Amino acid sequence: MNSFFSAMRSTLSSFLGVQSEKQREEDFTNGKPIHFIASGLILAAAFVVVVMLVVEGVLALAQK
Amino acid sequence: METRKNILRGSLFGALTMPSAAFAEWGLNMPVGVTEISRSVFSLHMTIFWVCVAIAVVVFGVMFYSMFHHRKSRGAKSAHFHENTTVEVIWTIIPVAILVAMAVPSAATLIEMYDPSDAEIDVQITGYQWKWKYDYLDEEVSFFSNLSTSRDAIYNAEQKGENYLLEVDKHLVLPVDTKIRFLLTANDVIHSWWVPDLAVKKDAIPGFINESWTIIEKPGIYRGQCTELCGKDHGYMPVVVEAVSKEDYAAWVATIKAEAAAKADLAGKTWTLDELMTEGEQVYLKACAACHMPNGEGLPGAFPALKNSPIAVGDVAAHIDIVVNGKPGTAMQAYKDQLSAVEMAAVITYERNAWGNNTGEAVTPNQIADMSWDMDRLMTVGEEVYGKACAACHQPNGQGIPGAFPGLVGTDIVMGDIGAHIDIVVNGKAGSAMQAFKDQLSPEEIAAVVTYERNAWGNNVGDSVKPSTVASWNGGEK
Ligand code: HEC
Ligand code: HEC
Ligand SMILES: [Cu+2]
Repeated sequence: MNSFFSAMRSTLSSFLGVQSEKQREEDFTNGKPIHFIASGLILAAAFVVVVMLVVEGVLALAQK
Repeated sequence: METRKNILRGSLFGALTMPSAAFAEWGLNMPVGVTEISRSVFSLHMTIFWVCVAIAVVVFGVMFYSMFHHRKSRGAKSAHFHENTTVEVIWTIIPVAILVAMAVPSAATLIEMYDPSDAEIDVQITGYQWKWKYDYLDEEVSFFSNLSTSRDAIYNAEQKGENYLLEVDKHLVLPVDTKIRFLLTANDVIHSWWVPDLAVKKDAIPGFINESWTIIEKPGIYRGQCTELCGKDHGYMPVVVEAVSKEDYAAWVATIKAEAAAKADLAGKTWTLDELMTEGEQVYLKACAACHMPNGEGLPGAFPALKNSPIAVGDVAAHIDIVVNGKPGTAMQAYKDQLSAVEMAAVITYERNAWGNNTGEAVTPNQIADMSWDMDRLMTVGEEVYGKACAACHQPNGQGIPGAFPGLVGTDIVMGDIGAHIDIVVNGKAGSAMQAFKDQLSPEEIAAVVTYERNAWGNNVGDSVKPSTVASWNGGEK
């Protein structure tokens, strides 16, 4: 479980494009591929939802 | 040299100041335009430009300062660290913040640009290789807009004019202070319709309809171009918008509709004998009765009787000829410039059936029109039409471009069955660049260009096409 959240954290950092050396080593020693794939899919979906919400919000604001 | 310097100084000055006359003259910046949208696009552009300038000053400032201050001759040693997460996070967050800050005003403008609701006028714009077609959907007005720069100017045989490659035969006329919606599509490949002064730039894609809109605030001529590479003459399909007052627009619509109706009368309508007789009697009383008398008996010794006259009950061609061309040296004038083809057809029909002439023959407007299209006129007009509508692909010398556009010298269609030749020009060839010209050219123009192709460049087939044949080609359907 711990390794999953660590993978989540690393995937999030990869969205930003910044990663610390310490975390990178952690990923490559204790990380499991399945955790990275899962967190990648979850976060990508979350990103899409966030973009949709922002667009909806902006359009709703503009209607006024 | 002095002017060079001035231009340089001027352009630097121009680039660094807000909209000034310098922009218009030298075209250094995008135009401010004549719509609310174009003004907000311009101010967005300037805002973002200054943001970029500020970023550049800071980034390059730090860079040059560091290079100078920590130079080797002062004993600076390069640092050898690999990462610094904090710095990296900061230099990622700051640009994101700047982008978001710029997105806020841009989104406002974009949303407005994409809202074509409540438009009063709909214009469908269709891109063709290489011309634009404009359909005013509410008015049933429709026309093609072709480049009007002459080939001689393009090939340097003639002085290039002020609006070189930015001039067309028919402008897209639009009223000011009116919301106009554009519906854009294309007939062959992707084109893009762009008028900088309106800040409208939209792709025209076959099979899709894109929407855009404008409210022009100032009457004037606004020029633009196709901005999607669309083939050989991509640079030769400009856009010219003419914005006029609402009254002038209404007047323009009325004229163009009247012209179209007059044409349709001639080409499309089938006239019955009765209709021609009714119309003919009126024309006769107005234009002919003064000499030939209302009862057709003329004035003996001065004006011949038409009742039972050898021409009026004899050869139709001779009858048409004397009315169209007159009889030189006598009081019988040529009516071809005074009466329309419909009026001439009607009055001739009337003369052949009134006062007991009763030949039962009706002369159609098309017969009259054909009379005025002899070989010489067909060839002269044909050459003009060819240069305007066909030479871009088939080349002025008819040789075509091997592998893309066929030559028209000595080919089966051009030398062979005239029907097949007319058909490919009228209806085009589906799936090829050869378009249907029936909506773009008049029957007269098609007759002329087909005749021209059959007799130019040594083809010398010797036959010719009458406009009426073309007008009734698809069973008279447009
Ligand atoms: C200004 C007087 C004048 C008017 C108006 C006029 N004509 Fe004539 N027309 C003549 C004269 C004169 C001739 C005889 C020419 C000749 O053969 O010497 C003639 C000859 C003709 C003939 C040939 C008659 C024949 O059998 O020889 C026809 C047909 C004719 N006119 C039709 C018309 C029509 C149709 C109109 C009206 C659109 C018209 N004319 C108007 C003076 C006139
Ligand atoms: C956009 C390019 C283009 C333009 C403009 C164009 N054509 Fe064509 N034309 C073609 C192509 C491509 C073909 C070959 C069609 C096929 O058979 O696949 C063709 C074929 C023809 C043919 C048949 C040639 C043969 O013997 O097979 C004739 C005739 C012809 N065009 C006449 C005209 C005329 C007249 C015009 C002007 C009114 C014109 N074309 C304008 C592209 C063009
Ligand atoms: Cu184009």
